[in-house]
Amino acid sequence: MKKQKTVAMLLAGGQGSRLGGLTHKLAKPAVSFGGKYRIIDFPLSNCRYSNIEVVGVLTQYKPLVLNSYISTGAPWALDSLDGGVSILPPYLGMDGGSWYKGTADAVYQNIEFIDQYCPENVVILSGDHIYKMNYHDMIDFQDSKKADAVIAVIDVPLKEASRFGIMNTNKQDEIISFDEKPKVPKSTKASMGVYVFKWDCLKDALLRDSKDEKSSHDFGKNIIPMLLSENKKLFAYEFDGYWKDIGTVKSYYEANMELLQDPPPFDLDDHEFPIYSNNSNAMPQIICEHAEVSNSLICDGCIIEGKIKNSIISKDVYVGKDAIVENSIVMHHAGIESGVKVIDAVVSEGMVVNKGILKGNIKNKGNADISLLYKPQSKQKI
Amino acid sequence: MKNTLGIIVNNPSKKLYPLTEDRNPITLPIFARYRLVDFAMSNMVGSNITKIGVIASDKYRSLLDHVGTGQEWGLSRKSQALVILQGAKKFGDIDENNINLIDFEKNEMVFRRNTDNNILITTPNTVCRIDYIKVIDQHKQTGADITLVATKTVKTGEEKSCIFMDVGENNEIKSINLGSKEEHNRQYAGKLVIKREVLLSLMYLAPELGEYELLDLIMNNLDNFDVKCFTYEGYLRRITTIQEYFDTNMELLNPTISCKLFRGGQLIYTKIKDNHPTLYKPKCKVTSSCIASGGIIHGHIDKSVIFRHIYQEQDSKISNSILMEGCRVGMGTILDYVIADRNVTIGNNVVLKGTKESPVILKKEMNI
Repeated sequence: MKKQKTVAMLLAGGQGSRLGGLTHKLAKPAVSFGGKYRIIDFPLSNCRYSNIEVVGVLTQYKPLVLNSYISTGAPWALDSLDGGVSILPPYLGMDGGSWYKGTADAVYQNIEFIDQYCPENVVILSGDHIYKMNYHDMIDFQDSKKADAVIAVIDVPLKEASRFGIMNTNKQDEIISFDEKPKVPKSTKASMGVYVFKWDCLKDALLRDSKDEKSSHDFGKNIIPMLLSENKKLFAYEFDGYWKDIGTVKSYYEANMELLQDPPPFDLDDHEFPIYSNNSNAMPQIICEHAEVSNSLICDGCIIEGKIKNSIISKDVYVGKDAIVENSIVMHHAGIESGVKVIDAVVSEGMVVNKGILKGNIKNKGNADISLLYKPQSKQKI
Repeated sequence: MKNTLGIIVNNPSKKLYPLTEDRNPITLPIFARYRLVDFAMSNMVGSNITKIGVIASDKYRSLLDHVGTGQEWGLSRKSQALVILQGAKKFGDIDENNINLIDFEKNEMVFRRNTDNNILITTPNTVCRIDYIKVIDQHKQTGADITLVATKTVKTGEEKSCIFMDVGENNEIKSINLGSKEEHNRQYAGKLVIKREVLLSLMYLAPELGEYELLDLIMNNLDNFDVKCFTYEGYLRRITTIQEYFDTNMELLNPTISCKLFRGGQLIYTKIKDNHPTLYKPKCKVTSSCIASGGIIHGHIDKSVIFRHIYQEQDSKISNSILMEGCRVGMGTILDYVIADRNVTIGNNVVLKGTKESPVILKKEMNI
């Protein structure tokens, strides 16, 4: 196998149980976002933009949609001759095997995969964030600091800091200590879940962590504190772009709605840094005679006869006559039949709403109560 | 489909000028995200014809750019292949019915070495969704040398350049003529299946006879071959003139018609682009229109076909128009019956009005 300077490992096995029905049938990274995308498009497009040629995608929970979506990696131009995208579920060996017990364990179980490429650096990514980032900037930063590991951080408001893993740094950006969801945060530098490690340092840490029975084999909870306690050189890389953690239905809804702001904090219309996705063929959208559309994103394949306002409509959605869709997200292949009202709601893939009024209520700003509609056994509507 | 090789020829017709000034009509953009060749290729792929040759003659840069390795049609596989064949025709040489054997002679080796029994030849200037499996089944069953695909006759106003046939029971062709002078009940649809050895013998005969038009050879030698007709009854539109191009685009704005063509069954594939979903701004007003991805719409759009990546500013009004990829429309501009080719930039407060019969045509990359 050809040697690669950098290998990326993308953690995509989580259930994302706080997303409720959205992850009923698929893993969190496969949840649709912004109409045509799925969350995993963002880290994969970042890998493409950073010229990372080898990406291992660690899957475990409900991987089928994700597997077929990733396919050969060609949609992200990652179908390279020397590596490309590999989907890595847990596997059996001579001594048996086990499920991935944590984020660190998932990488530990694939040490052989990484070793094939003899990389200098390993980038650890997760499949639940919306952002655009060139990981090479982080690698350059690591080289300049001669660090063992670099953790990307973003400045968050102090009152929200207790929701994140917080890095406390000195003036040279060196990490002194790390607090996972601290009640009283000492800094506002939140970990973005993007790590760059020197592979020899990480491999050594993973091997030792695997033998620790008390460990929960998690990067944030175990590996980072372990390296800090051993006085390894860990640096925080400050990222100042847009970054959004899709943890809950509420944050999912908000991140989607932010795309409709003017100007949007996260620009999809960026020719320098396009977000790639696995596009499927659908006819162009048709906005019919009596339709009204305003401040919305609409994808290919839709036929719109009703009224759409402040909403995100995915591919192949039908909205019937006199139907109203407002402040909502409607996912692939869903149907909103004539006369139906959908307000402040998320309608999941393949769901057909044929009567009534569906309304979540927004009590006050920033406290959205979203009506979530999902289909336990989703059927596709043609 | 086993034993069938698909060939897409091209029609360097002058009638679509100036839309074909820079491109072969084979890649004429149509209905917001497609090009004419997409229909020909997708229909073949959908009928399990997995060896496809596209004859590229004159101005084929956009063809190569569009089809690439055939990846989007599932043709870049070891088992399935797309071949670009060198053509002989020059732009504007000939009229549109044409399947010219000089193109085939240039690639004689391909047809000689090939082991497929049947060769399906289509011109790309029709918009339809046809199941060739049925055509080839009939061709095999009847044992015909040549099976011509035809539609039931409809009046188009372009009768002079069309080929009409009188077809009897059992699909036999009683007469075949250019133009609608004699009695007829079928119109040739630009597609035919021919036995490979018949094609080869016609290729060798052509120089002797001094006739290279396959259709003319068939018409003149109807008695010497077993020629049958297959009647296709679905949606089909010929795109040979600006008027036909405009009308077909407008007709497809009706979702019941476009769904027949694009939904359920065989998909029409095209080159994929990574555009964001179309963004409709708060003050926009869009009705009876078809819009591709990547657009940002601020103004009014009515009864129009809007290709990918359009930027339209506020207070502008586009109606009865076709705007190809990458067009920009400035503030306060009014467009009515306009066909704008790719990357046309129209500034602020411009008023362009054409008519249904003669829409204003803006050439590629124009600045107004």
